[in-house]
Amino acid sequence: MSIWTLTWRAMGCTLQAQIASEREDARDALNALPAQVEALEACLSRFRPESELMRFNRQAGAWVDVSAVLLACLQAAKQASRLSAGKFNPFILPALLKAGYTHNFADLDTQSAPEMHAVSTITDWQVLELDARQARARIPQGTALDLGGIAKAWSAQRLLDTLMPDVPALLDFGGDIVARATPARQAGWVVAIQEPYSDVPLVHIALRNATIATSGTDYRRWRGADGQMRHHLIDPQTAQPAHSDIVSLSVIHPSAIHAEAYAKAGLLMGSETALNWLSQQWHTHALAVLQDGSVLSTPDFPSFILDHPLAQFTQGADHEYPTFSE
Amino acid sequence: MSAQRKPEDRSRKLFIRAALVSGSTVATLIGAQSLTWIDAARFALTATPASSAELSTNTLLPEAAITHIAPSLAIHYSAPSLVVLRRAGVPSQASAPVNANAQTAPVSLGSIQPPAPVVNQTETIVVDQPVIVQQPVYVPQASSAPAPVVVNSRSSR
Repeated sequence: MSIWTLTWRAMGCTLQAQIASEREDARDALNALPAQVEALEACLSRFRPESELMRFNRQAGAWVDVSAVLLACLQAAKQASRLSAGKFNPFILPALLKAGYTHNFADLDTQSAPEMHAVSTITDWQVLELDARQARARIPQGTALDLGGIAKAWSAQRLLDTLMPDVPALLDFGGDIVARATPARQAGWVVAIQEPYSDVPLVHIALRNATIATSGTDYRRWRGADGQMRHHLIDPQTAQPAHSDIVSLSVIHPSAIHAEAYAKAGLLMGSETALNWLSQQWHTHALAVLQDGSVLSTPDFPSFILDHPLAQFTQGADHEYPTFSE
Repeated sequence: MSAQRKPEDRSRKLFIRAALVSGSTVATLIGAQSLTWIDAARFALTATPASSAELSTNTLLPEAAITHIAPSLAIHYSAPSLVVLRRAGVPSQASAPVNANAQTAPVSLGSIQPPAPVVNQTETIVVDQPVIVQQPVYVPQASSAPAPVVVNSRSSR
């Protein structure tokens, strides 16, 4: 069995695609991915002034006709907000700019960033209006959307669904990893969850027909104009970078949107509330690394860990998730 | 015999009836109590230890006592929604890598400290977690082409 891998940079991060197939068209399928990702980025990126998203933001206050791609991503953002009880909020763009996250992170001067206009509150996500029948959307005047918190996971799921649907495949979009099936004679696609601030693997898990999404404050960090370290995870309640005892939170779920929403929401909640809340969500498994170095998880997460005493992952049908459509 | 009954006969009949009723009542009470005793004896013979504990007071029993009288119960003294995989201050041990060629290093003890911030250069690749561990499967190398390139070996970051 051959596993073909494509690695490239887009969306401000490293992307990787893998297909386990002997078919000759596997390479062609992989080679088509960068162009597809570029098309999505041209639509959804806030770092491109002429993206459809930024043109939509400039027309805040009016109903705007949107493409099917933007409409679908806006629907995913609203779903993520609903799932996270508002802790994921796409109206955080002004707060991100105020915090200094003004450019793609690769181009950002992490030593200092200009102070922008003050932001004290973040708009309620429920004011985002979507009209699927007429393919249009509207946001209140003076507001703006950022889809960076959901776009990678949503894009990965969307592209995986169309990438040679009948073969095992995996897409890694900057830490949001979506896996379909598993290579032959493997328990799952092997994924290493790293220790924060390092390249050392914390655990290896086997992923199959699910998404693992990780939110963390250990990357995308820069020094603000006030000299304080900032990171990109904005707390909608304070409009400031979140303060949490969790450094990194990884969530496994059959749905990419759910995994992404839960990872962000859980980090903002803090370890005690997050793990209790996540353990009550269907098909959700989470692992958190805390500031003090401790590692906590929901009850069933250890069963995903390879070579762990509690691992139940054998060749076969463990952790068969239901089909999840979004 | 005259139709008029003697008062003595009426009293005797009344006494007899009262005795019969009283006797029946007492017999009923005695019988009921006996049945209760019998049931209690049977219950004492067939009752499980947990039942016995439930019949006792509501005071909290120590762990050893609970384990002894209810071995089928699973006692969790940590939060039911929480599993501690590593405690604070415990040195991490990198899990055995699936890929034998993987190289790992132990993590330092103590709390996690962020590194000093550095200016990101365009060539620097920001690595997000998690990352893929490549499957050690050999396939012919694809011919090189302008980035991106289809590769099948361990991906670079």
